[in-house]
Amino acid sequence: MEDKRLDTENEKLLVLKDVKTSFFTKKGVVRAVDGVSFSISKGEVVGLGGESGCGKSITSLSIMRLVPQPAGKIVSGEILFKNEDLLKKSEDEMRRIRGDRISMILQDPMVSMNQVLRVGYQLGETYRYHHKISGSLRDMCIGLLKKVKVPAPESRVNDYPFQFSGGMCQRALIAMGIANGPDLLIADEPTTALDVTIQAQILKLMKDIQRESKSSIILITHDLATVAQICSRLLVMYGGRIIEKAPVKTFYKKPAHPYSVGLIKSVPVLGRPTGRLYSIDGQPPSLINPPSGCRFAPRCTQAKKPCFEIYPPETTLEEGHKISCWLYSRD
Amino acid sequence: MKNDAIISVHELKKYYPVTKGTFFSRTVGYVKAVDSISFGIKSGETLGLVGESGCGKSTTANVMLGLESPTSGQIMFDGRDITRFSRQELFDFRGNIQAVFQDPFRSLNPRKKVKHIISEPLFIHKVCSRKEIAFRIIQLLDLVGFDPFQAGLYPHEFSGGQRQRIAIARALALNPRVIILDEPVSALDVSIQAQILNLLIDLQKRLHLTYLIISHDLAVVEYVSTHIGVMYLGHLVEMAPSEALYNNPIHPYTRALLDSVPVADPEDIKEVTLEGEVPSPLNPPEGCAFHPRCPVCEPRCSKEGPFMREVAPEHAAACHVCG
Repeated sequence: MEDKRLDTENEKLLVLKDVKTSFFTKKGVVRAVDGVSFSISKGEVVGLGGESGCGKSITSLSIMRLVPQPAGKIVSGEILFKNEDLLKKSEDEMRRIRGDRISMILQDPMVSMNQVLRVGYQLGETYRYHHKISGSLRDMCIGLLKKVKVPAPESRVNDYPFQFSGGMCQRALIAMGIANGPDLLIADEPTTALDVTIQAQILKLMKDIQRESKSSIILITHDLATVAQICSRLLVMYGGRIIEKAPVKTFYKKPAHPYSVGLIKSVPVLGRPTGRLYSIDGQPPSLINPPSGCRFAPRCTQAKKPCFEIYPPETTLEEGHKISCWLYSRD
Repeated sequence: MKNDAIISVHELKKYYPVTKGTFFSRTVGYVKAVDSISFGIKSGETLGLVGESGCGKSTTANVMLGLESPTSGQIMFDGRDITRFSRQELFDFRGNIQAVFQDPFRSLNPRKKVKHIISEPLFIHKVCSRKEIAFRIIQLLDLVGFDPFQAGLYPHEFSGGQRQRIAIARALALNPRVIILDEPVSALDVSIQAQILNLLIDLQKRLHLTYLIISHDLAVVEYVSTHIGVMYLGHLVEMAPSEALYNNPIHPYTRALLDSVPVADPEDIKEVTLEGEVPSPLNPPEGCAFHPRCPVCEPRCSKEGPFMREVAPEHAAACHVCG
């Protein structure tokens, strides 16, 4: 295992090439993810941001091959995980990857756990599935709970999830996610359901665990502040596509896409009274018949004629900062 | 501050009994959801209540709306105590104080058209004739930025932000003087959240409304409020004009709360300032409710609970040590 890790050290862990996921409904084809390409290196923490319905969760479900059936389907594209295409794997092979090499933490900690099984059992479940073991996993589970800083793990391991508070459930879920030492951890809005003081604790925990285990993390969130706190790179999605990719430091200093600029300006900042809050007019686009040009054009204040007709190509502004917008296109 | 307030609460308590047994049930304890809080809001101002889940902010709102009766304490509106109202008086009073709730997907009846949703309070309180109602609906829709034709649509034809506008229009129907906003933007996306917050501020100026806004998002509360109250486990721990609260927080919990809000700036990484979790309200700590997590806790904090003390004009905090 270790050798393999070293070999791929400088390579990309995960590469998505033009992934398209659609839902075939009575009302028409919903193009939830419409040509998304990005890559993640080993040990990188990447934020995937955007508003509800922009396709960020479906992107993560596509990586896990867990898109809701039968309506949803990954139509085309390639998802290369350690240079192997996940879309060509059989269901059995996928099952061996899920929870072992790629694991996921979901939004609502209270409903992500089985309420009638002990926390300890659920913690050991993923490990038991992927390893041949004999004997008890109790010590391992206690160790895991210790790692995620659940107080009194020796007795807590026997508790049921309803005896845990929201923050502690989320800690237990993180413990489950890292039980097998995955290469990639997908966290879908891990702190949205939590209070601010607990959110700060969970973010710190995720940062510490990442530093220790060197696994890559995709953090899916609508909250740009969370991204700024733990990610090194940010991908902004809008209407099923990625519109801007940038290192976090560049993004908050010089956001380029009009949507990103508007998004940053429309969040009230504590202690920085701004007078009137900037707001982006209009509503996010319907993905059933998305506008043919730039998805953001109808709401954009700087939209010109080509914006409504052709989708803008990706332009590189500087190292690592890529944007899909006609304002910056050199053609 | 309390004297010229349009609405104020004094020593408000709301305890929920905890019972054991089905047939011969007996009360074994109380959940002190709201424990002796007092505050007032002046006409045209906005009070923001912040705190973590379970701290009693929504219970406070429900009691003030008359949806639940308090265990003890007074709620004064225009010099009259609404907790002593008869049913009829309470019914008449309700037009003065209206509410907008968190989830616009659940607070609107999906089987009713927008015009019926908005005009329901008008029918119930019989404030105008049928003809006037039609006119009033258009007026209300215009206030929240809709076209008259949208009155015939159903809630599912609107997005989250638009539904929240409908909920606001309904709250405005009876020309209330106070509106209680319980997490009005937490279910909305950032770009839509800004639209709703701006709308609320515009309406307040135009109609001279008084708001009580409840939110867990400190930045949102700071943006709309003139005063902010911080709650912890059923107690009000600090109350101040919003600028003073931000620039000069007194209570250690307020400080920790302000410090733990993540900032959209990668060069300003937050440190965790508050360990542990909120204790269960069933079994709250002795003395100051915050002392087990408090960084500046002293021996007496675990014995006697602190009272609100004024530290500056309009700025009060409940702490033995600070201020």
